[in-house]
Amino acid sequence: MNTHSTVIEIRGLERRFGKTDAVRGVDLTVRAGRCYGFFGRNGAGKTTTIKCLLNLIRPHAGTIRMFGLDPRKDEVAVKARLAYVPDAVGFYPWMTVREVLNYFASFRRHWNPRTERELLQRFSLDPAKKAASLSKGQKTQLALVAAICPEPDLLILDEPTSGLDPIVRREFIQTVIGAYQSGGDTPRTIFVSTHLISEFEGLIDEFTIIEQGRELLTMAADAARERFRKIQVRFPDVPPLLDLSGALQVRQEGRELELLVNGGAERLVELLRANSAEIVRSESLSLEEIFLASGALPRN
Amino acid sequence: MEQRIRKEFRALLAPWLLALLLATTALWWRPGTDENAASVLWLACLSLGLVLLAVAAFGKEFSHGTIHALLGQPISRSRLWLEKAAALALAMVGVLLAFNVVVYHSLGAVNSLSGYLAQPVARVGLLVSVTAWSGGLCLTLLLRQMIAAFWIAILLPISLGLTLEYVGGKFFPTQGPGTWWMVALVVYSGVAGLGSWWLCLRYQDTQRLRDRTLYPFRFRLGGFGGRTQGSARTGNGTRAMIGKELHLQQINFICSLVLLLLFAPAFLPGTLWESNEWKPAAGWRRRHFRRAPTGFAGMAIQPSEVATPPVLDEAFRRLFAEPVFRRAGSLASQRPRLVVRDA
Repeated sequence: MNTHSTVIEIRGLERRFGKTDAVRGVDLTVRAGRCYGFFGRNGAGKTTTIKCLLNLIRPHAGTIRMFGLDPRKDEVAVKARLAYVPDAVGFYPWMTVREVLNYFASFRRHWNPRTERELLQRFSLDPAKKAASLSKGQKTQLALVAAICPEPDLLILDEPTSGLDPIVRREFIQTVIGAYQSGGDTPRTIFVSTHLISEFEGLIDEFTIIEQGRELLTMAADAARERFRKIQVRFPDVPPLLDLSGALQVRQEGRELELLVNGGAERLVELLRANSAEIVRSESLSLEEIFLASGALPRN
Repeated sequence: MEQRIRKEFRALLAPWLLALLLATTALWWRPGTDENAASVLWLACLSLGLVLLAVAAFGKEFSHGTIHALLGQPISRSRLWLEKAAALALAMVGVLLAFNVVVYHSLGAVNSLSGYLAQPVARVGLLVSVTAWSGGLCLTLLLRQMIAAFWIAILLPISLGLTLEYVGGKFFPTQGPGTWWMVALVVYSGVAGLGSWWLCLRYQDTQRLRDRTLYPFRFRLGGFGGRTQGSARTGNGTRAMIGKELHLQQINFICSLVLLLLFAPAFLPGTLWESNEWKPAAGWRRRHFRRAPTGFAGMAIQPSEVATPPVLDEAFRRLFAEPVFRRAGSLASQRPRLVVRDA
């Protein structure tokens, strides 16, 4: 598998629950070796989309290809190449941490004991401890260890950092995800669904934002940072009435204006300068800010 | 593989021990007491235990929230079903074996093993096990949780048996009720067994059915905090708790009521049914039922002109009918006559 091959390909995905449209025509393509962010508010349709990828929910319309295979027809072949960490992690309460890992290893052909040892040590997880006595965060950690040790080509994470404390979150992202992506000869892909975007800021290569089941924005992270900008200007006097229709949001505080723009920043800067504005700052938005600003994007 | 099988057995351990305890109730039986009544009790306990065991196979995955993780693993659905069904079957064989050993020793009158195996209690025990195995697997996958699956796995075969007994009795009066019950349970087991396989292959991770079966009605009792608003919402914690518990237990209330209704005809005729207030209803019953539709108990009431029932009729008659109808007291004097034959 080279870095140009497609790991996930979704076209026109639709899924309803009764009268509710959970997913409405989502398209996305995830290439090998990328860290793909799948952002959206609670109930936006992220988990439904992921369950469709895993053949846990059958879509009503659209096509899904994973590693070029149909997950409905080649379920085992597809799942042999991926690992999934669900949003609600559950373990058999009588099992110890060691038994949980042995159990998950029994499904796999390959399991890296060195990674297992290192991660258990890093997370301070006692192998003899019962799964029932683990905290929510520790259960998530255990699920991550179980997902990473088989060294799959694709790691699907559904809200992986919910329940983790800030220190462990940072540890998780820097070490676990980093180690997973850099290890092995084949490119490793991560598909992460979250609404805690700031934590994945430096890792995300490409992302899709969905809202109410609809795809709102799909972009490469660098291109998005280039395109979405925040401009702060100060006027010598009360700001004049200007045509700022290119801005997503405009906020005024006294003589200062703050604008969020989706492309066309140069035109707006020129316009503001022409009206004797002093540019205080012009900077890229973070992915989280883009996500927040995406609420102002026009709907299809 | 070994880990997975070990996990399956460990998951079944608690219900298996309970089923074993229920299956060995014959240990407490003292010779001299009513053998038929005791057999009914033993089989009822065995059935309860086995259904409990059967619903635990998939039910534990739902209650522990491990079903997502399990289905996310690279294992085919058919293999998953096979592993679970095989582990459950083995666990059930253990319970059934214990049941038969205990009953064999309790029935001191039976001299040989072959003689015991010819006894109705052994055959009905086997039939009940197969029914519980298939029904438990299928209904847990269908209903996605254990409580409703447990109830329905008990109620469904009984309702099916009663229906088939009544309809079959209408159209084929020469066949005894035992035949219809056997047909009902065998067909039910076959359909449920195949159904559980099909449901496992097509499992989708949606919660809609689960919630609807557990809480079929939106239960808003005004007096229990369900409709209170504003300041009235505060300070009535106990009532709100009771309201919540009533809501949570509704599947138990509904299913126990259905079970009561199914078996009520076995007890009603000798008591309420014949009183003056019920005369019109009793007349209606006589016109429409040649024999009272009394579930397992009804199998014993044969019109006197009907030929000797086959072996299974005899089994059901001895195991279920006579003890129940003895309690009904005056029933023998009624038109559908109780036929008691010696083995």
